[in-house]
Amino acid sequence: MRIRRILVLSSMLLPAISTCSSRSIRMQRGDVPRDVTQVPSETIPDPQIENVIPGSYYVSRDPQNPSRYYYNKVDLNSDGKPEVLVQLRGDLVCGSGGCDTFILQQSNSGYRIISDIALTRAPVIVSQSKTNGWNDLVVYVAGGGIMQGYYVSLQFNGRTYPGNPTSISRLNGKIVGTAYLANADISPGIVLRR
Amino acid sequence: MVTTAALTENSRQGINFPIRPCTGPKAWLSPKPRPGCGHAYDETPVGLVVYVRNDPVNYIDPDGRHWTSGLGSSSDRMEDWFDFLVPSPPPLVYGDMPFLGDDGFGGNESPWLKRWNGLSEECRIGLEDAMPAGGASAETAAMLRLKALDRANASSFALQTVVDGSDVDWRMMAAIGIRETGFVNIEQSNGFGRGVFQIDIQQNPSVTGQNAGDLSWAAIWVANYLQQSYDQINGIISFEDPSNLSIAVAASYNRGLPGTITDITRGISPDVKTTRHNYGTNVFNLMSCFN
Repeated sequence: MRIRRILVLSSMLLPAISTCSSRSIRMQRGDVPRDVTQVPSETIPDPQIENVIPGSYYVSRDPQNPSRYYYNKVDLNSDGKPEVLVQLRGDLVCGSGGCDTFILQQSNSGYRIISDIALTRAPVIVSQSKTNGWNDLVVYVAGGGIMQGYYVSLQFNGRTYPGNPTSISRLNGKIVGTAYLANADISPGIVLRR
Repeated sequence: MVTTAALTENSRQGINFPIRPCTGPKAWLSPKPRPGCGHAYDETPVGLVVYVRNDPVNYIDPDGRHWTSGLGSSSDRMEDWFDFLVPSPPPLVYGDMPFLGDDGFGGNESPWLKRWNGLSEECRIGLEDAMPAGGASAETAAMLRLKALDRANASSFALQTVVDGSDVDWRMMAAIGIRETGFVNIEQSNGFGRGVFQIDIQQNPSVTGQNAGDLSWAAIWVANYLQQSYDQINGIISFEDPSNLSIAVAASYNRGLPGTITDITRGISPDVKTTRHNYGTNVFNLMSCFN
């Protein structure tokens, strides 16, 4: 009811306060890596992935923007078993700083979450460099007050990847690796079923 | 109910500064009352009216002459804020003052600093966290932060009107605008954030860049986001301190709602996985600037 009231009010206000919309200022583009190979996300739903997404909070109220996910399978620790990069999107799922990306590892009972990385955006670049036997992950950080976006490298600490990329220093130098979830900005993704 | 006619009339008169009481009716989204609260900008009404006459959100900040570059390598430099502020003929309030002596003010305290020091401590902390100074001088930092506050204040009536009848406090939206962009309408080239509130048009495909850049449209979108976030968080989690609910709602705007709820239910602060680890608290502190 409250939301509806806001929306009703909005129709009355739009003509009155739309004078502030005429112009915007484009931010300077960051160092976009051009040498990385781009891999689009998978398109086939994976119930095992959907089963491990935590909680039942990823339920969208907006049919135009359902909770959905993008994923790729990548062997991050060279053990011959691929891990899964999963990024979630949807109504209220993401914030101004980005979206959640989960790193899933195969176990005897299915997947288990080894990392929940907040404030991420597509693509997620799997770097050729490794830390503690795992590939570093390069993600773009922007929004939430960070006006000039930049890349950071997330290094595995033996147990997990850092959960907050904004705590990592800016990555300088050339990025070498493979970009996964590369089409998440243009693909509808896979609707998360609950 | 506020009508369109009333809004237009007030805008024409530049009356965008209703003095709000120290304690708001919506305690769950309001900073705690504190002694001596009142309007933070009573000392500078001229500047505020000037901003209202122009376009406060798309306002081209005039005053670049105090700026010094080379402030460090962090992406959170004050320099980044200045990059969006292109010099143009200004309605300067303080900038036209003559430079006298080494400090430019004849040995007296800079008007910017004077005004800055008149803010509440909570408000100053909020602005410092939202707009890190890097290596900027104290005066430059104060100037840029105060101008961001002016832009938000100049839009206060519109924000109040948007949230009228809802549980959302317009001050939270004003604070988010400052935290995100310094209340400037910007386009984020690689992150797809658009407008004062940095609505991500890729993550939210129903939002166009034009929508996000329109303050009135964007304010409604943000109000709905915050209302839904409040409804869901409040429906799942019980807070002893209502301030924490406000912080959680604000944090969710940056981190996303499911992640915020997940963290809280695990006993983790909702700020831990927000930008610079302080988004919710920062917005909460910034809200005090609008008491």
